[in-house]
Amino acid sequence: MFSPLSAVVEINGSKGDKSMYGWTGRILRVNLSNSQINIETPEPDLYEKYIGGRGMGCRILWEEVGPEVNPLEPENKLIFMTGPLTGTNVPTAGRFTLTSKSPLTGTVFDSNSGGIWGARLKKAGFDGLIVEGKADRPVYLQINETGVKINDAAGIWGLNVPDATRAITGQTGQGYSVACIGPAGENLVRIACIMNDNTRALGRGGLGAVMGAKLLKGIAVKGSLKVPVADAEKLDFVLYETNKWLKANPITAQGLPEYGTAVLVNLFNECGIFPAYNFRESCYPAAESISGEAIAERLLVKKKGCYGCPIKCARVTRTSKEQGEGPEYESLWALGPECGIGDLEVIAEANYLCNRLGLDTISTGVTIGCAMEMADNNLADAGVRFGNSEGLLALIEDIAFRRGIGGDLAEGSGAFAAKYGGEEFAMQVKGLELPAYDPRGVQGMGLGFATSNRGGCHLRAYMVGPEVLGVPKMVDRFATQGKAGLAIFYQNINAATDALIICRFACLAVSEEYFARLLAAVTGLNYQPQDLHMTGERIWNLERLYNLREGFSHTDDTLPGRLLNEPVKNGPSRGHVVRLGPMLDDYYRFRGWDQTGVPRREKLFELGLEGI
Amino acid sequence: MSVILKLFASLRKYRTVINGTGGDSVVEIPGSLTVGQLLHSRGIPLEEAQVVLVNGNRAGHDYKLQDGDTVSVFPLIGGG
Repeated sequence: MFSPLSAVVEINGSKGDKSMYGWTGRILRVNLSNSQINIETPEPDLYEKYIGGRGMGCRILWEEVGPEVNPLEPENKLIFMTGPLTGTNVPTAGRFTLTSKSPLTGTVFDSNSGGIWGARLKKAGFDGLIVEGKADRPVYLQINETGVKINDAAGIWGLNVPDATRAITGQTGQGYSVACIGPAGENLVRIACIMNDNTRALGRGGLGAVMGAKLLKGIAVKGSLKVPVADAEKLDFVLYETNKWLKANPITAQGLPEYGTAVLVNLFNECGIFPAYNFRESCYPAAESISGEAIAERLLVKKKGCYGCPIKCARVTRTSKEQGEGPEYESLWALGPECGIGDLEVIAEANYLCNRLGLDTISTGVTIGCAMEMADNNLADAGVRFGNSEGLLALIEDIAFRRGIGGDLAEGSGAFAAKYGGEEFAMQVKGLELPAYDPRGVQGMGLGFATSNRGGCHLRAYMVGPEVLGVPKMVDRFATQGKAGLAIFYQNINAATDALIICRFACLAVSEEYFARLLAAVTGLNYQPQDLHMTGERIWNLERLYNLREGFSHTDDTLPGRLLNEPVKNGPSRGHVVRLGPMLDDYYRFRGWDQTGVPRREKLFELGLEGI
Repeated sequence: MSVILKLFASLRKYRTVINGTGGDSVVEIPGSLTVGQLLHSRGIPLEEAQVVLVNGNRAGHDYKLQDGDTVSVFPLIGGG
């Protein structure tokens, strides 16, 4: 008898648009409610305007998931997208994005991951994968060049990430990459992530819960098709130059390879922008003992890189108890100083634990930090106090399994704090927990957090580049003047590189001019740097329109009261708050939006969004 | 007068020339040294010292040191 859960669809025959290079021209659509599997071939115009990744993801979500859809209902969709450079030999272009409506923020949300999964999806012959509906029992997807299967996950549901990954590859055979959820995603924890080959994460926004709500445990992909390139000779030439830049820049050639992302700890701590104790402090005295340098000395087993990456910033590490990967800079901070914890081994083990359970390390740490401060204020007792290592590890498990008060923390810091009357202790913007930068000492970063269309995210504008790192040029981190224009510039170009998709770290060494040339060589289309800026601006504005349609407004473009009203008490940023108001006024004006943050008609015309 | 000199990331290798504990070294200097002169006197190539903070604030190699300053020196780094 035909079983819809083992439906196999042969996909040779539908080859997409053969005139396209870089893109395969094919997007796979799987409906878990009725087991229907289709291959779609979007118009070339859509690819040209949105490129891929975050751009295509947002465009599809705009069309298909409206304000009536609850993020955890079957009508929400998971849109996995690669970009035209994914799977080519462009350095750091092995990435992919997942776009959905976030159960944590309610905004459009794209999460972006390295590893090798994205390259394999592309090499299986697909630019993207859309998953919709809800299965009637736990399943996982198996995708390769010849077919797609919806497999029963009965014996796999309930397993943690490494066990599930092993069980899935045990069934599919070797050569597959697995993106899957752990118990947190299954239990609809709103800060659940999706792990990719155990160690890289689609971390933010709780998209693991969207997978869990669909009863989709994992997606295994395998592929070895070659990505068609329009002008291989030109590509080789631009690659030669691009690789030279990566090798010549100390950030990508030394700092990240030698010390990983946690190389930032000491610099940010010395600047007084390294928050601690739920942002009560802006320095952490024991920072050096948990820095990238300390990881290299005490925990490092070996260095590791994503598909096609010469930087290799990932760390395989070992504590006295176990081996794993990380912690990355943000994770280390969230599970460490944010919670008043300075024991590197405990932090690494908390990080491994989050990875096994499928929890976003940033949101988990910041939500627990919030609970710790609320306990100090007698508002809620989650059994943890600042500095309590054992309590931290136990509470992480309770969140993933929604045990006791862990079930309240599983809703994220904003909802948790509101339930117990401590809203001011939730360090979040639009529901997304803030990462490891105190914006009181980096004003533009504050503007970036407030205006990010996926909530409190460092990567949208990444203003620490010019404000602290001096990349590409140093500006005054305490100044507000000029920050709006700079933030817009970076938000736009970063949206474009998230569509290509290129790792943010490569962008620290290679300018957008090279990315335009790489894109042109791969696709055969005439992309110029200004086209990337325009595409990024289009993506940014469409994301804004999406959030406005969801009911967000300019009143949501703000920061936790602490950062606006409580001056930093100690250290080099002492006395500062984020002076958001004037920056925000400039920001709306320079964006071509009205005073309430709504894009003006002329701006939409300029970007080709008028008919949307 | 004396200043505190802190060297990080790949510059830590130059700590061996300094008698200090942990990452901090108290360095006795004659008055009127600049950051660049201090680094030079310690055998630290200026081109590697791309990010210099004095008391947490960005400073150039020509900054004139004051008694009690904390000088934190990094190569060009990034991440996140």
